[in-house]
Amino acid sequence: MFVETSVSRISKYNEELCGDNVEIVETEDSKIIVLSDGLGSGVKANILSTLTTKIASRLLEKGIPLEEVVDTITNTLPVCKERQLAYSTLSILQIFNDGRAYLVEIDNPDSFFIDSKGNISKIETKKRRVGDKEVREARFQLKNNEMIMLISDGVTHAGVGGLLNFGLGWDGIAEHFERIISKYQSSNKFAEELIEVCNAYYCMEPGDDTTTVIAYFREERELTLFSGPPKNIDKDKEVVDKLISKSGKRVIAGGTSAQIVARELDEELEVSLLYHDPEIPPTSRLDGVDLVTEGLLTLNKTVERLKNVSCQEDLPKQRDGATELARLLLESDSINMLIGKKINPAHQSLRLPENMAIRKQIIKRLVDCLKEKGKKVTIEWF
Amino acid sequence: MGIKIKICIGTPCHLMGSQNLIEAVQEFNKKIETDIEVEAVNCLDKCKGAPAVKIDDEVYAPARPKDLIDLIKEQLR
Repeated sequence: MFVETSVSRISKYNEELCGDNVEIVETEDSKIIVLSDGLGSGVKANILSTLTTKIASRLLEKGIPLEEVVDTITNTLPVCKERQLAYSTLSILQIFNDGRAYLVEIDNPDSFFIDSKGNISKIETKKRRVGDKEVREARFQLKNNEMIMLISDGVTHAGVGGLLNFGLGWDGIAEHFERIISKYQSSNKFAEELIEVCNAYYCMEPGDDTTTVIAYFREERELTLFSGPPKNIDKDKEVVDKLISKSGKRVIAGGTSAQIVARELDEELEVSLLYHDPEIPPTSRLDGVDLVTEGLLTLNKTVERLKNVSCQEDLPKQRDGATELARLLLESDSINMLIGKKINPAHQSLRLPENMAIRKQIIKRLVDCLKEKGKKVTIEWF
Repeated sequence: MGIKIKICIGTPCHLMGSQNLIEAVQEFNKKIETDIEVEAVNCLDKCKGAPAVKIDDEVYAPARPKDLIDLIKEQLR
């Protein structure tokens, strides 16, 4: 199972730095998400919340008990000269690969539980005291396609000083969030849209740092991409076997590569002329493969598409090869690449810029871009 | 007598305007009642002679749509 995490935030109006901070740490068997809201706003708040999230995530990662974590934080934070306080809020969510979840909240608004049908509810927590802090704690089991959303109080206060007297509140946020999740698919978009709503209630001048983190517990989505013929023709069968044996989506980028797969599988490869785009050659159809595109130009355009968006919902509406490939890549968590090293001499004579024409360069740019988006990428060269 | 045309849409052929060739043949097919079978293919293995077009068993490199139509007209004669 996989935990997809998305963060979206806006800083208080006229502040360059956000006083909320989020830290996500992956351990061998779990993901730990820490959200903290530092006292005040700007630099001071940013330092407090960054220290809080860093200390908490590192200590929890090493298995230090919560009591010690809270104690360490309260004793380490620098004291505010004006208020004589060292203060920041804290929410910690740890989700294990088998769905067990552990939630701790200190002075942050209640987190949201969203079931697989999109129904939102509060998580039942038990209160206890750790030092001078009141801690709300819960242990529960998550099922496939369920989500948890952590927020800073800027979210529930959305509208104060703007459209509302007392802010949207927990129920108001839940109502907006239900509408958002019925419209989109990725947690990135959910988080972005919710922060947009808050910003709108603040009349685009947020009265506080506003942050939301979503943890989406679901099956891991895999994709295997085959591009470029192997250097040695003897390897053709091996690559095709690997492509076909992998679970998840299968994509081929490259005309010759597609012909190799069609030949090895004894399937018909058919070009589909569904669109005319001077920049992106047509796609093809091949049984057992989810998408077949041209190689060089499509991959270059795919990188461009990926760089311009943060989630699949923001991609252009057209269904060309590059957009479709970018969509499949954005929807996936783990991407296996099977890349051939054979050089097509005809490509070298096209006089394209080096970083566009050399497969290794394009793949490097694609991998960098995917890793930046939090994807797990593995490459096998043939 | 009908003819079979395969137009390559591989990278070099695409850059050399194979999509325009496809459109030109489709248009031509609509105008004149001929029996032309057009198919786009992934590679004709003639990358150096892009855009590659196979008419029946012969491979050509028509630089412009007009050149391809002229070739077809010649074949139909």
